[in-house]
Amino acid sequence: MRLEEQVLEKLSLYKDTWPMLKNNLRIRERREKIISEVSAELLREVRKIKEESIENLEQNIERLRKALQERGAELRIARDGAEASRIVLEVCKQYGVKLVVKSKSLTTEEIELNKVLESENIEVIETDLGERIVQLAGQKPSHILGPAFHMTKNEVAEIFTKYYGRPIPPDPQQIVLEVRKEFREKYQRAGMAITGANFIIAENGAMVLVTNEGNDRLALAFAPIHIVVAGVEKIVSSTRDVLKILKILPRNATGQRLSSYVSFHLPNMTAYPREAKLSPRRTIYILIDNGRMEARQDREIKEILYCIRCASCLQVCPPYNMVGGHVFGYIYSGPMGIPWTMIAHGLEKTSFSQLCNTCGLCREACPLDINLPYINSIVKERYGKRFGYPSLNKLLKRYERLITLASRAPNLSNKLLNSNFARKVMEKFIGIDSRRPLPRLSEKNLGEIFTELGLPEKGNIVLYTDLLIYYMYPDWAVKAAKILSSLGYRIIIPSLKSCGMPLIQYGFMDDARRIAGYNVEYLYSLIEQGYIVVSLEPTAQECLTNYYPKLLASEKSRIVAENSYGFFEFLKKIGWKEVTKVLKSLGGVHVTYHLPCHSRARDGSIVVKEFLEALGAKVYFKKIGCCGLAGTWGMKKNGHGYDVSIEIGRYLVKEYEKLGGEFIVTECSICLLQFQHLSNLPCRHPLQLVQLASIE
Amino acid sequence: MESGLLKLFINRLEDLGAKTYICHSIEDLLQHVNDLIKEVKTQILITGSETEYMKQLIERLRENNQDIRVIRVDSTTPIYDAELSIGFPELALANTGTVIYRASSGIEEASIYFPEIHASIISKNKILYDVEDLEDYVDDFLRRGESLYFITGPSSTADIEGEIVKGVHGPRRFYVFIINGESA
Ligand code: SF4
Ligand code: SF4
Repeated sequence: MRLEEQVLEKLSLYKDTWPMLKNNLRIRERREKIISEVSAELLREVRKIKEESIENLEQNIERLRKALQERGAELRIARDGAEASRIVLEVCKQYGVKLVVKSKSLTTEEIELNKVLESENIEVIETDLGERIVQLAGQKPSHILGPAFHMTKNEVAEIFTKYYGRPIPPDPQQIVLEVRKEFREKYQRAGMAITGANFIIAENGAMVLVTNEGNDRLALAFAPIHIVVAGVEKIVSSTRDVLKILKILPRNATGQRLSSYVSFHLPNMTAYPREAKLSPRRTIYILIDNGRMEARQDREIKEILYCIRCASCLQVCPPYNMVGGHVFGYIYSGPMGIPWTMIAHGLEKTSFSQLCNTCGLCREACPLDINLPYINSIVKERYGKRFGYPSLNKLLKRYERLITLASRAPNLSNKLLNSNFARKVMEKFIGIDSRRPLPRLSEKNLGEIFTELGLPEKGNIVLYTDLLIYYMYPDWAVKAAKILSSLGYRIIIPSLKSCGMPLIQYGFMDDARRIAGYNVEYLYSLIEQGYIVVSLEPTAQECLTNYYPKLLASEKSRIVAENSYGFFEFLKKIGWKEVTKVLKSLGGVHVTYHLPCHSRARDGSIVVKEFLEALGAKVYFKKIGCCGLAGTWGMKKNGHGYDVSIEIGRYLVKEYEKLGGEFIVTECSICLLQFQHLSNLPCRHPLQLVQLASIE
Repeated sequence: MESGLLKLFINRLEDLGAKTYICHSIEDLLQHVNDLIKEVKTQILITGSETEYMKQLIERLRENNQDIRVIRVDSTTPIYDAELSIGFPELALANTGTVIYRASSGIEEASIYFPEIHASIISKNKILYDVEDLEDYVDDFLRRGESLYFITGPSSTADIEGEIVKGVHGPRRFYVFIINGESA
C-alpha cells in the first residue's frame, strides 16, 4: 500500500478516538508536572556526557571488554543484525535452549531477532505487556515505549481471548492478572533471558535497566543464561554518567521521578538453582553496530546517537500522533524513527519521513536538544536525491514563483482561486487539495504600499515579513511598523526572499541553502549598518535563528541569528510598560491563544500571551501542539498532507472551543488559515486586535 | 532537615501507592508485620544484608508463626510459593520514594520481585535525598561485585489505553517500614 493510502486508512481507523494522541497526552500531562525539576544545566551536562561517550566509543568498548572479562562475561560486537542473531542462535543451540524470555529491547526489534529464533523452533516470550500484545497480534510496536498504544482494550481483550482460548474481559486489571499468572511459570522454565540495556557502564561492566513492570527483573532472576543485546551507543563511561541521565530519563519518558525498577546489574551473578544445582549465570553482551559507527562519522546526523530513547519526541509529534508508528515509522517510529531507520535499516525505508511537517516540536521536547527537524530534513534530502523526491513536493517547491505570478493580477487570481474548476485543476496539476481554502491576495502588496517609516531615535529595524504577509496581509506589516515607529524606531521592509521553509520541509536543502545565503547576506549587510532584524512570521524567525546557521554554518549566519527577534519578542525586550503606552487597552476581551510551533522566544516565555495580557485581555491557553497546516504540507492533496493536517487541527479546535475565548488568536498567518477553516470562532492575528492609542 | 527528608520520603511513597509506617521499636515493627502475615499461608522470605533488626525479626516471626516457613534467603533456597518477602534495603532516596537493594544471586533477585507482597524495612538514617547522592555508594557496591536494584513503588503498566495497572510482574503491593531510631 502506498504511504498516502496507509495514512488514510489509519486516519479513518483512529477517527475521533485518537488513541496514540490520547496516550501521549496522558504522559505529557504527567511529564509537565515535574519537568521543571530538571535544570537546563543538568540537560547540558547530560548532552556533554553523551557527546563524550560517542567521541570515546572505541576506548570505552575496550574498557568494557576488560571489565566484563574480569567478571567472567563476554563481549561480542556484531556488525549487523544478522551477525547478532547468529550469535544468539549459536548459544541457544549450544545449551539446548527451547524457551527464551525477552524483556523489552528496541534493539532486538531492530534486528528482528524473534523471527530468527522462532524459525529454529525456539519459543520466544515477550514479557513486557505491550510487547506481548503486539507479539500475539503479529504486529510491530507502534510506539517505542508503549508498543500497543494504538489498540483499544477491546482489541487487546480479543487478542488474549484468542490466545488463551477462553473469554478475557476488556478490563486492563483482569488482563494483567492473566498475563502475570502465565508468565510466572515461564520465567522459571526459560533457558535464557534476553534483555536490552538502557546504559552499559564501561568502567565496571554493569548494564542498567529501567522499567516499570519488573518483567526484566524476573526474566533475569531465573535465567541461567543472560544475553544483553544493545546498540554500541549505549556505552557510557562511568556510573556517575548514568546517575545524571537517570535524573532526566524517567521524568521525560513517563513523567516519573524514577521508574519503578532501575537496576545496575553486574554479570557475575549466581544463577537461580535448577535441580538444586548452583552455577554461575552465563552472560554475553552483544553490542550492535548496524550503521552506528558510520553515523558517528556523519556530521549532519551524528547527534542522533545521543538519543536516550525517552520518547519525548513521539509524545509531541502531530502527524505521528494521528497515524501511529506503523505508518510514521518502520521499526523505530516517530521523529527519532526517521534517522534511526536510516541508520539501522537503510535510506530506502525512510519514505515515511514525508509525513514530518517540520513543526519542530520534537526538538523542543528532546532533553538532549537533538535537532531532529533538521536531521529529518537531511534524511528527506538524501532520500530525494537517491530515490527521487515525491512529485507533489517538486511541484510545490515553486510556491514562491506561483504566488508572485498570481500577485501580478490579484483580482483575477482571487476569482480563479474561488472557482471550483480552477481548484480541481490545481489539485490535479499542482497537488493542492481543493478542499483547502486559500488566502486572498491583497490588491496591493506590501512593497507597493510601504517603503519606510519613523525616525531612528532608538534604532533602525529591518522588518522581515515573509511571503504570506507580503502578498496577502500587508496591512499587518504596516501596523507592526507603526507600532515600532511610535516606540522610537525607523522601519524598513526590504525585498528579501521568502524564508524557504517549504524547501527545508521537503528536503530541498541545496535550494534552501541558496535562499538562506541570499537572505543572510542581505540582512548581514544591514546589521553591519546597525539594523536590528525583526521577523513578523514565527516561521521566518525560526529559519533565521535555527535553520540558516545549520544550513550555512557561517559566521554571518550566526551573527544574523543573534541579531534577529520575533516581533513580539522584540516588543517584550522594549518592555511591556512602554508598549502598552502606545496601544489601546484590550480590557474585557476574552481570547483563546494558540502558540505557533515556531514561536520561540529566547527566554522560553510565551510572549504573545504576555503581550495580550499586558494589554488587559483575558487569555485562555492550553499547550497542545501544532495546528496541523504547516504551510504547503497541509495543502497537499489527500493522504499526502491535507487529511492528516485536518485531523490534527480538528482535535485542537475541539479543545480550544471549550476554553472560553471569543476569538482564537495566534501570530502565525498559516495557523490562522487552519483555524479559519476549522473553527466556528472568529480567528485573529494579534495585530488585528490591537489599535494604536494615538491615531486609530 | 532530617525530618524533612523523612516526610518527603513518606509523601513520595504514598503518592506512588506504597503504604508506609514509622516504627519506633522492634515491637512496633512486629505489630505491622503481623498484620501482613495474616494474608500469608506458606512462606515468608527475608532478604537483604543481615542486621540486628533482621535477626530479631526472623526469631520473633518463627516463634510466633509455627505453621509458616520464615526463610532467610540464601543462594540455594527455592522461593516458588512465598506470598510475602521482607527486605532490608541498603539505602533509600527521599525525593523519588526509592529503596535500593543489593544482590549477588538469582535467588536474591527473585526474592524481591516474585512474591505478591513486598515490604522493605529501612532505618531513617539510610535515607538520602536523590540519585546524585548515590555516586560513591553505587560504585562501591559494583566494585564489590554486587548488583543494585532500585524499587520505586509497586510494579505498574500503562500499556492498555494508558490506564495505570499495578502489579504486572513484580509485587502487587508494596510496604515500607521506616525505623526511627537505631539502625535497621
Ligand atoms: S518536526 Fe514535527 S512533524 Fe517533524 S518529526 Fe518533529 S514533531 Fe514530528
Ligand atoms: S530523540 Fe530526543 S526526545 Fe526523541 S527519544 Fe531520543 S532523546 Fe528522547
